[in-house]
Amino acid sequence: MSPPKPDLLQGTLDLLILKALSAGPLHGWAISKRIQQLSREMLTATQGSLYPALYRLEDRGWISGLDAESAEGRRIKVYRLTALGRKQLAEQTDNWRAFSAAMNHVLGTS
Amino acid sequence: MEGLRRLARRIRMLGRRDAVERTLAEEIRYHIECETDELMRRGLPRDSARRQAIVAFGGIEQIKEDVRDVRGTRAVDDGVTDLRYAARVLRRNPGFTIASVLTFGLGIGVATAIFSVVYGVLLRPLPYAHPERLMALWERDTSRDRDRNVVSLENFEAWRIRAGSFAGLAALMPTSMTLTERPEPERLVGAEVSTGYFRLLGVSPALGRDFVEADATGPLVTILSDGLWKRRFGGDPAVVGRVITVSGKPCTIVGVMRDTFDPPRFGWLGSQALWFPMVISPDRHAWGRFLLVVGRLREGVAIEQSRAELRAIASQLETEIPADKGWSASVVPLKTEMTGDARTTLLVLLGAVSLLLVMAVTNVGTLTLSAMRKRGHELAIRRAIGATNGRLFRQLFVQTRDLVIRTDGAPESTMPLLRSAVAALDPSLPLYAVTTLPDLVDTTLAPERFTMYVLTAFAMSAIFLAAVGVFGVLVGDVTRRRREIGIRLALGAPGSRVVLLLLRRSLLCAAGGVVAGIILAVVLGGMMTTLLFGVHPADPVSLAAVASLVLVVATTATLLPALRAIRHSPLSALRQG
Repeated sequence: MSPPKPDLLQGTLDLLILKALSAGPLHGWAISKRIQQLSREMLTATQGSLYPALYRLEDRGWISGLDAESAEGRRIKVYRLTALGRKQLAEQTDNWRAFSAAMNHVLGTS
Repeated sequence: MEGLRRLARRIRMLGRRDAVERTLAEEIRYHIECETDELMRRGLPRDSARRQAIVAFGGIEQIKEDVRDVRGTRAVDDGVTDLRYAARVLRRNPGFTIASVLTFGLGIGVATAIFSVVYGVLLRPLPYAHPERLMALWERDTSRDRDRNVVSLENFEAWRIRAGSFAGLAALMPTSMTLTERPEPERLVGAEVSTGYFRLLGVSPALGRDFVEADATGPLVTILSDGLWKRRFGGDPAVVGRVITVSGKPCTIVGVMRDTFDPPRFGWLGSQALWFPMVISPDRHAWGRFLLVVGRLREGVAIEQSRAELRAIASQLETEIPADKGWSASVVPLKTEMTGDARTTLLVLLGAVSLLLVMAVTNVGTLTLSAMRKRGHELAIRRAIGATNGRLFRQLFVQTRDLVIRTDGAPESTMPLLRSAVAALDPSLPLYAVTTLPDLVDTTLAPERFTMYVLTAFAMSAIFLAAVGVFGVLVGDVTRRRREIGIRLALGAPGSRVVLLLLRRSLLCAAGGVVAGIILAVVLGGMMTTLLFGVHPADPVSLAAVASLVLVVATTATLLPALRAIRHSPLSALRQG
């Protein structure tokens, strides 16, 4: 059995997706893999929440979906960070840093 | 901005809903394949890899729903389902459908008609430049507290010079004259207007020129209305410069107004066929008060400011002019001035039609409830009865005033006789506004009668709606209680008693509504009497007629299904229930 993984905090999935896309466009499955990889397998975006989140972010205009081709030549949908999304990423990263610093402070960890 | 963009995106999405759904399904399939490949790379056999990938993904349909939620298309999808369901229900209940359609059609139709009249008269701005700054100025008789008195020439001139809150003031007065032109002379009503009147309104003639200062003292000139120009001069563009005879004096046509020009009608000003420059002769200063005054507020000046200024000027004038003792001034928006009378009437009609619409909606709602058999019977009946006794009822049988004026012979046949008789006396004498006495009375009472006809139509519609509502609810109710009827019959209750029981319940509810309605009718009727001509509150005949109609409908609606129920054997009623 794998060790217990922390649940994603409300709202953090959006930030993780934005971060995952900051290095370049990815398709849905690749985004979930990238989140796992970046978090050293600590965080998993449950698939059930990933796609609604992608559509939500697209609806807000932070990411945009485009048609692309996979390595095997299949038409797939990849997601790309928009300028608005990049701004959001910077903003939310700052927020998160401030928040986690405050939490650490409260909990007495360094 | 962002919200707008999102909305636009959603609308686009809706248009391509199927495409988006396909894309999503494709995305999920691809996701699962990738996951399967990944698991196979880790050594799982294909089948279990695939199974595990699907399990890990979760409920696919649920995810699709979630995505639809996010995209905002779900409401539409749900709406389509609801509509389909509704269509099915309606097809199965044609009676209910017809009643609802009639009810809604009637309610919406009448409401739209009245709302458009209200818009046209009350809400649409006057057809002049910056109409909100146009005001009517009056003298105020402080001793008798009458604040809309016509203005003396002297005061008009003083106001014009001293009132700084107005960009301009113009005076006008109705005038009537005889146009002595072939083929026959005609009596016309027009207006004398001070120089700058048309410019003040922001209108200009279509042909020729506006009045100038010199016209007031020079030879007589006139500007024709579009209507008169077309009717008497055949729309001849060369009419400008032509000399016509007005009340025996030569008068030069200098202009023709546009067909879109609708002159302000207020005070004693009616329709105007032509205009003359206002003559300011010394003797007119002795005429007393006779002018209507229109003013245009300077930009940025509030109406209150202008009122204060005009009052201050008026109190100065009180000390300067002996005749002005006890006189002040008032400023009223021209719009208010022009719609003043119609306003009350229209608001009453609007109120009535709103009630009618509420009734229509309530009715369909009640019928729906009854059809769906989801609600308790008391509530439904109470609603239907409540609507029944809308305050319009009282007017249903209001007797129109009997106009006991008689006419001998059709006016068309007597016209030539009259004309030749008059011509024999004096050929230049015009025969104008020939009308029969009843016609004259009709015209005078026309607005009141119109209001009354419309209200009567409303009342009829209201009665109809109420009857449909009460009938539908009660029939549905009794039908629903067939099982109970069966039990009572099976236990040995005589049919007549069961029917009486049902009847008592229905009539009790109906009677409650009738009483409430009568009270409302009497109270509101008292208020309406002051507003409308020919309406007698608490007219016992109308009230009794409406009350009995409601009770008859309630009785019929109960008896029909009740009798049908007891005619069948108790067993079948029980089984059907």
